[in-house]
Amino acid sequence: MPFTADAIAAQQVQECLKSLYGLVHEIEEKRQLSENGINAINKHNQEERGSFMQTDLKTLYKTAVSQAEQEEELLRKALQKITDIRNIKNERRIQARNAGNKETIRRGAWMKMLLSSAQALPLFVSKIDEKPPPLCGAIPAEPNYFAKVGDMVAALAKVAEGDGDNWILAEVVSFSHALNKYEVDDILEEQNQKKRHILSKKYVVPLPLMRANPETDSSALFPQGSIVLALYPQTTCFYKAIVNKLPQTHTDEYEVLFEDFTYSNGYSPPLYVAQRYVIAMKQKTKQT
Amino acid sequence: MINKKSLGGVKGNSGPRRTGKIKSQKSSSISSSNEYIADSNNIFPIVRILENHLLPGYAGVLTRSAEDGVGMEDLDQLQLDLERLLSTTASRHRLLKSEMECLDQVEEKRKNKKFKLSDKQFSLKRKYIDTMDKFRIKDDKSEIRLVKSNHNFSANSLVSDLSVKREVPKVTFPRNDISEKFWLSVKPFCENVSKDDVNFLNSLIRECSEEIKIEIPGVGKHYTMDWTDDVLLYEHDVNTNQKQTNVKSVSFKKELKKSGLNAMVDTFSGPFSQRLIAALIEEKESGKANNELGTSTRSNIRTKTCMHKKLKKELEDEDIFDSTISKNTIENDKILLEIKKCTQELKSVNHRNISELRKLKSIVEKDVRRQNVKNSLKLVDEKVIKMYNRVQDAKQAQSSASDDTFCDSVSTQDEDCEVIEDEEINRLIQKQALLHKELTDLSNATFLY
Repeated sequence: MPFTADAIAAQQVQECLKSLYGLVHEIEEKRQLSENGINAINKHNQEERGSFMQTDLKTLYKTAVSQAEQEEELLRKALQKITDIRNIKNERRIQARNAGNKETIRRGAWMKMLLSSAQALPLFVSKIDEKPPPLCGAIPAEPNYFAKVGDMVAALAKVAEGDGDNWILAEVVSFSHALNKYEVDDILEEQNQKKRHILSKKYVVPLPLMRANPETDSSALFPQGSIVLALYPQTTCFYKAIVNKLPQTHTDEYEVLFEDFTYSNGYSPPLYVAQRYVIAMKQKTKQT
Repeated sequence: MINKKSLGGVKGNSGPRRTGKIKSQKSSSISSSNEYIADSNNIFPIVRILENHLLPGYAGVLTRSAEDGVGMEDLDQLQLDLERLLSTTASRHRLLKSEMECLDQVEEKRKNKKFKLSDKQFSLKRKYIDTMDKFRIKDDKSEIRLVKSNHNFSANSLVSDLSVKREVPKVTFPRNDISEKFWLSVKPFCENVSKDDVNFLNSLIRECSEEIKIEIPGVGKHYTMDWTDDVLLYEHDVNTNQKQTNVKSVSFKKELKKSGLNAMVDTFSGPFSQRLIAALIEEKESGKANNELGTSTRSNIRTKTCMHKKLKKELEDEDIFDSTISKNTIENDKILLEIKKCTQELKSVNHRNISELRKLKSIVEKDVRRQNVKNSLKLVDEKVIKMYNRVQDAKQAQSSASDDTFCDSVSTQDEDCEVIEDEEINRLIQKQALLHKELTDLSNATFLY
């Protein structure tokens, strides 16, 4: 069966991987050029200090800028390819689920997946004078936005009898425009055997779709001391926390202090939470 | 679903494990940033080709053949590596751009102000900072530094000229303006007194010396008396009018009677006309009654006022009430006393004013005199100086003449001249001394005040 959806998807992925390979090599060439350009500037600075050959320096800068632009463009392309591959895979997963193929993933595996998916979230590196879009880092979604099917969300739901409502990590199954309600699945399979959660839009917060790059877009990060909802490590629940340290590089995570009354000072020791699992605290919601 | 309460044990373990991981991540990022600094000449963020071992996923793909290509398992690491490259490149791009802008600015300034920079790489002294805004702030700082350093060298005088030119109009010009304004405002207070001032003082003294006749009008009748008089007057008027009308109606009746009612009745022979006349007569009767009512109210007031007068008169007759006493009290009332007191005060103030004005006038006159003396002294001084110069010149001429052999006639003439000049000089010096004495006397007198 050469034309099944799976086969087409696999072919697309293969093409993407192929072009990615090509892009990586192109990038290497551009990097070499950029490095030469920077070396030339440094050399110029060293040798020509005190002379009046400013026009020379300017042309060197110009070439370095254009080299950086080209390199940046290729890098963006390559990263886009990776995102495309991930999207294709995710689509296949959703389709498989809709077809009734149950994913049997154990809890431990889920935890690993959560971490890797947080790292795999695309990084937003703004172009010059570009503002970070909604759902990039701390930037909230627009009011009329609704999460797509398969997107990860934080949902305020009752998880166990006798227990209060909790902000759980969930995945969107569908969204009804007429009712303005989401149908969400708890991220842990065993919890969904009872029933799916149907929640009003206000009890569902979409997770960021992009990470903010601290080196270029620190404005899209939660400032230090802000009160957030963060996923407690090794759990699938969001709890109130205070941002203690911001990520310094694109791979870093937030250092947060969870509100926890089992500790004498009312806060947990500093814990690390990925950008993907840190969202703005809704002021009106009552935490239990 | 797992919540943190159900995973109490895990919570404790997760902390150190996670922190350990992050530490390793951080150390890698620090090491990379150290590499930027290690290259002392390079201020631009760059991951060099030689540093490819820092990008394991990326380096792995590069070493592979096209057939092997990129595998799905490589994606995560490759993404991280590419992201790192992108972040570095984007930062470099920004820094380069800001450097370019900086260079453009310097060039523009040079074009505009026509000055040359000796150190064109000043902007490269800066260190790498993440955001654009920070770059800009840095740029400004570096510019200031440049101007300052150049300011110290005389070779780059053009730069210092520029800074001076900038400052001059800002600082000195307004200060001049302010001083001028100040002196203009102060000038009228510091000016010498003139004859106009004396005249003005004279006019003031004249004005103040004029006798002012203050007439306090009498209190007059008490207002109640005034009002009762008015009422009575009005009453009188009303009565006379009524009397007049009454007289008219009576005469009309008499006439009617005289001409004969019969004749009248004859003319209105019909039964209807007779009834009409009867009705009219009835109406007249009722009108009369109305009139009587109106007069009764007025007569009420009249009786009241009359009563008041009558009572007063009776009281006066019986020596209980004395109108003369009341008159006396009216004259000695408090208001009148107050008025008199005030006028007295005003008079004394006026008196004082006049004396002060006179004092001032005498001072001013003295000052005018002092000014005159000063002027004449000035003239005399000038003359003395002139004389002195002449004498000096003459002495010089004499000394030069004494060296050579000179005619006797000339010398005798000179002697005559000297005698005359000596007299004049003596006179002038005396006059100067006199004037000076006078001036000091006068100014002392003025300052004593």
